[in-house]
Amino acid sequence: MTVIKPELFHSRSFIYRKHRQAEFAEVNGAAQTLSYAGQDDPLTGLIDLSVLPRFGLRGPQAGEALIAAGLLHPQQPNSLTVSDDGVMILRLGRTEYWVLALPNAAAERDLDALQQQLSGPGIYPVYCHDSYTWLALAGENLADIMAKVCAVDLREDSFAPGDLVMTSLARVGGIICHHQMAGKPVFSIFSDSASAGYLWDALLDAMAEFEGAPAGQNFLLSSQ
Amino acid sequence: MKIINCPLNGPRNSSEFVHGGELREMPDPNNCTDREWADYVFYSDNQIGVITEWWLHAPSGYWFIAERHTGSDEILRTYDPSEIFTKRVEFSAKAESSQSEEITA
Repeated sequence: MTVIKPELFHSRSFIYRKHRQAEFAEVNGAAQTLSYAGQDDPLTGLIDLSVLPRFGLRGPQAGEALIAAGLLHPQQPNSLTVSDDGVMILRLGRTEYWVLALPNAAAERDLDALQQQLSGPGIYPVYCHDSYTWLALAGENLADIMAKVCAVDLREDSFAPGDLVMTSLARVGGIICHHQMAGKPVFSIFSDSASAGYLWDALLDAMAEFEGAPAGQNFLLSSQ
Repeated sequence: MKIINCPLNGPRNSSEFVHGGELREMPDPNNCTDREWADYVFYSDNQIGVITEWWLHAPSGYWFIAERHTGSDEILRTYDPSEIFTKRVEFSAKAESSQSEEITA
């Protein structure tokens, strides 16, 4: 059996070289980290989900197209919805949306077909796969960790599940999305791919005092 | 740090924002003089008083309009550009002269 490694694929995470000790599985024509070898689950994990499928759309007809396709439509800008089958939709403005497959849906949902369906007059594509890195911060003390790098109050009472903020974190622009997976609070962070390596290291540095460590997608899928 | 109230994202540190210049009416690009176009693109009035400006919230790529007093640097009001721009601004291409067509042909 071939051992899955990022180097086997043309499509790779921007920071695949950081995952030396990890085990991978093929997802979406690339290698997704499943877990870090020889490590118990940390209190807080940082997971690289950059290779998972996603696309964006904007334009005056974008919202209605999402509703017509039977997807959960976030009512307000700066909010998100997660469907039972693991499709997350971010609403980033009055007429801009991102559609993403969470780790439990990435294998089953065909986002390419969905993107075909969500096209037409008044809808323009937004590229968010190869230009953005997707990091997930999951587990305990998320607001305390983020307080070290971000000026916005991300405590539960002002940043509930289903909220998202676009702000700067560790001095780079990014989108922080609050949702839940397997009973754990998760902050999904999207930031420019060019600074992905820096942000990965900066977040790990901020997590260190809270016993945080890099992890794979199994950490998101296993309940505590 | 100064706080600017973004109409989309709420109050944020001013370091998240980029100044976009004064909001002015665009002259017709096909019929205005070079002087009028340069005046629109490059020159600012630099007056003291309340002016209307474009600002960008960089992390979200969101452009909005702010009314700011240039003396006190106080931002009096911020709002979505849809209050002013109610429809899409269309540009018609300027007809090329026939001479340039002959050269490229």
